[in-house]
Amino acid sequence: MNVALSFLLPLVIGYVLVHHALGRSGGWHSSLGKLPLALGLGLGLTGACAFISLALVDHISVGFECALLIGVLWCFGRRPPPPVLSADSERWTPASRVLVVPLGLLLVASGIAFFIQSGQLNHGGWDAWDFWNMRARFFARGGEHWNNTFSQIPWWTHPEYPVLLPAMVARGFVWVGRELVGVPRALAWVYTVGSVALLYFGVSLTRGRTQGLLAATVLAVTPYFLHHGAEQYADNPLGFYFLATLVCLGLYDRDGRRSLLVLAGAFAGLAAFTKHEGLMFVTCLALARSVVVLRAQGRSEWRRQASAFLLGASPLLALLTLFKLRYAVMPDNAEFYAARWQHWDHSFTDHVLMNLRSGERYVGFFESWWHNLTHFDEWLLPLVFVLSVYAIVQGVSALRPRTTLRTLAVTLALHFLGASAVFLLWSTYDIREHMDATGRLLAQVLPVSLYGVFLTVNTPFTVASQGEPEAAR
Amino acid sequence: MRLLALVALVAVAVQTSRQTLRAFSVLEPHERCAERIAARYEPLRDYLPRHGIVGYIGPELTEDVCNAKFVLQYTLAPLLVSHVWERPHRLAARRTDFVVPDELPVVIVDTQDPEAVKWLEHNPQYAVLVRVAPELFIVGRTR
Repeated sequence: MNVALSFLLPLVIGYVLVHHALGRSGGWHSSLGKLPLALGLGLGLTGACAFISLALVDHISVGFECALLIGVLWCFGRRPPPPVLSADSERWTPASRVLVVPLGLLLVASGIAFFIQSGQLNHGGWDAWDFWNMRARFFARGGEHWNNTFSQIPWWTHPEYPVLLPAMVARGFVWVGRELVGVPRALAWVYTVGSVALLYFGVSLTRGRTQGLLAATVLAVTPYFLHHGAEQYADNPLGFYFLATLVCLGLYDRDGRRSLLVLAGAFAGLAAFTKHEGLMFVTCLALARSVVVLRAQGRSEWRRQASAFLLGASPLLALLTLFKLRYAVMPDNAEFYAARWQHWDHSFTDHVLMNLRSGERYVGFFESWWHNLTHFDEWLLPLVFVLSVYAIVQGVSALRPRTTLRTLAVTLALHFLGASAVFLLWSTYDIREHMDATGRLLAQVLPVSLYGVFLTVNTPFTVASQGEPEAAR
Repeated sequence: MRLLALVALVAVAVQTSRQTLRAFSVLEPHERCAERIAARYEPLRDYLPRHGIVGYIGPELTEDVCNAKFVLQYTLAPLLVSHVWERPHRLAARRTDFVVPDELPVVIVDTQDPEAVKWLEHNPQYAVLVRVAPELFIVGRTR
C-alpha cells in the first residue's frame, strides 16, 4: 500500500505539469501516453527533493515533496485549461488490425520475461546493489552520516556518480518505512515499461499508431534492454529521460508550445542528474539544437528556445553542481580520471599524444565499436542490420519531422564522437577492456534511436487516400 | 516487398523473444551472489556500530564471481568497510571531514579465506569479540 502511495504523489506532481505542457488529450492512447511522462517527471523531481532534504536537514523529509506538490497545484491549478493536444489521424486498416495481434503477443511475452527475471533478482544486478541501492542505504539509514558514502573508503562505488537514482530509492524506503527490495524493483519497472509506453506515445502522436506499436515492440523485445531493466541498472532511467527530452522537443517542433521546451529542459536536467553520460548527452543536445535552430530559424527563435529549455533544466543542473562541488569525491585510485594526472610520470598532454600515436589503440577502437554495435542488443540477428534492411525497404517518409530528426542525428553524432574521444585519447585502460562499456552507451540511446528510426521510415500500411498524420515543420 | 520486410522484422522479433523467455527463466550463479553473501553477513549488524569504519579480512572474489567485501559494504552501510590492507585509502580519506583512525579498532574476519587466519595469527593485538557464525568473527584491538 505504502509502495503505491510513494508513487502516487510523484504521479500527481508529474501529471499536473505534463498535462499543462502537453495539453488536453486527443484520445485514450494520448491520455495513457502521458502517464509514463508524468511518472518519470514526478519521480525525478521528488528524488531531487529527497537529495535537497538530505543536504539541508540530514534526513529525507517528505515535507519537501509535499511542498513541491502544493506549489505545483497552486501555480497550475488556477490556470485556464490548455488547448487540446493534436493527435494522429490514422484510421486502422484491416492489415494494421492484423498486425496488432502478433505485436501485442510480443509485448506480452517481453513483459513476462522481464517480470520473471526481475522477480528473481531481489537486490538487482551488480551495479544496482554495489552502487545505486547501496548508496540509497546510506541515505536512508545514515542520519547525519548519510554523506559518508562520498569517501575514499568505498572507492569502488564511484563516489563521484550523480545521485538521482539512489535518492529516488531512498525516498521510497522512507515512504514504505523499511528497506523493501520492492522499491528499487518497482522503479525499474516504471522506467522499463515506461520507456516502451513513451516510445509508443511519441511515435504514434506524429506517425500513427501502427508505427508507434512497431517501435515500442522492437524496444520491448530487445533482451539487453529487458535484462538491464530487471537488473535495476541506471541505464534504463537514463534512456527514458533521453527519450522524454526528445519526445517533448518533437512535440514542440510540431505544436510550437513553449511549455514543451521547459518540460524538455526538465527531463534533460534529470538525465544529467542520473549519470555522467546524461550530462554529456545534454551538452551535445544543446549544441546540436543550437546549430539546427540557428541555421534554419534564426537567432530570435534560438533565444526563445534556449531560454525555455534552460528554465526547465537549470534547477536540476544547479543541484548537480551543488552535488559535484560539495559532496562528490574522486577516488585517488580512479586511474581513468583526470584526478590522477598529477601522479603520472608524464603529463596529461604526453598521455594523449601517446594514445594518439598508438596504432594498436585504433585497431582496438574500431573492433570494439563494430563488435558492440552488432552484439549489444542480443537480438537473434543484430538489430542494426535488421532495422537497416527494414528502413531501406520501407523508404524514407516525406512526412518525417525534419527539425526533430536533425537535432537527434547531430546529438547522437556528437555524443558518440565525445565518447570515442574519451576511449581513444583519454582512457588509461586497455581500449578493448574499457570499450566493453560501449554496450551500455548504446543501450542508453536505444529508445531515442528507435524514436528517430520510426519517425523517419514509412509506415508499412500507408494508404494514399488516407495519408499519414500531418508532419512537423 | 514492404510487407515482406515487415513480416521478416516480426519473425526475427518472435524468435528473439522465444530465446529471451528461455534464457531469462534461469539465473547464472553469480547473479544470486549478492543475496547469498548478504544473508550470511546480515547478523553482523547486531554487533557493530551504525556508522564509522570497520576493517575486513576475508575472501574478495568468490567462486561464483562475487566480491564478498563489496557485498559486506552493501550490507553494513552506512558503516564503512575497509580491507585491512587498504591503508592508502584510509590515509586519503583522512583528508576529508570525517575521522578515519590510523589503526582499525574493529575488524571483521571471514576465515573462509586462509589469508584471514594467517592475518589473525600475525596480529595478536586483535582478540575475538564475537563469533557471529562459523568462520565469521568480529575481532577488536586490545592494545
